[in-house]
Amino acid sequence: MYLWDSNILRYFGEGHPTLYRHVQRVLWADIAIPTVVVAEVLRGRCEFALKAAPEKAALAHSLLVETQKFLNQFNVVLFNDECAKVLEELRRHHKTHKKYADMMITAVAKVGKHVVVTRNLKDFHGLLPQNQLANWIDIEPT
Amino acid sequence: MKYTIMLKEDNGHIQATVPALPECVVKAPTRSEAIRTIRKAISDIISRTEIIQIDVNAEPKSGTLLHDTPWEWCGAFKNDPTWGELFDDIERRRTPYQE
Repeated sequence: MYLWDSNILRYFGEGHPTLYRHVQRVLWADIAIPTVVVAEVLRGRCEFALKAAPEKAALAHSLLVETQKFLNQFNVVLFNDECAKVLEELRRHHKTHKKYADMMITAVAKVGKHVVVTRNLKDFHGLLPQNQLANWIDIEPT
Repeated sequence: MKYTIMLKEDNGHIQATVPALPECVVKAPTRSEAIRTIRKAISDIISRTEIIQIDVNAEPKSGTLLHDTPWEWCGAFKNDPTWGELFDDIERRRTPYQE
């Protein structure tokens, strides 16, 4: 499966033309987001809704619901016990050099043999081999 | 109630669609005309619509995959200024593990 990082979800919501062309070439059933990304997006929207000033509160709550509907369009890959074991290994090897969410996504990709689609390839260098990484924003489909 | 509208240039016309109401599609020569027409179209649909919730005694099969590409959501947040901020904040908050 193609496992989308949060930045790819952002560009899908923005209708990025290169991403659009990549998505046209694959099956939607082969695209998924990890629960890590679901958690990050909902955390942001929930905090916005709960902390919004009165004049922005209605908008913030409406965006939370719209974003939930948006996330529901995606297949979701669960971070499970097997992922947790891989994450523990990754954490031991990379200590504080890598971001924790990136390591969580890496663990999900390693367990499911998924390809991580991200614009931030450098964040995953050293975590995943080249054939498990793809950039659907800066590189046109062949 | 607020609805998200997608405006797309289409052969010299502006096509307006509503992601939340897939059957609601209008085309007009100008942007303002498209917005005026889609507002009326939404109002027409909503005035004829009853929204209810029902319980269905069935669970989806585990492992069922979503197959249809939801193109109506591609670009759905293009005009939302908070969308970019949301993801900038996600990037900022990605930090190494802290004991």
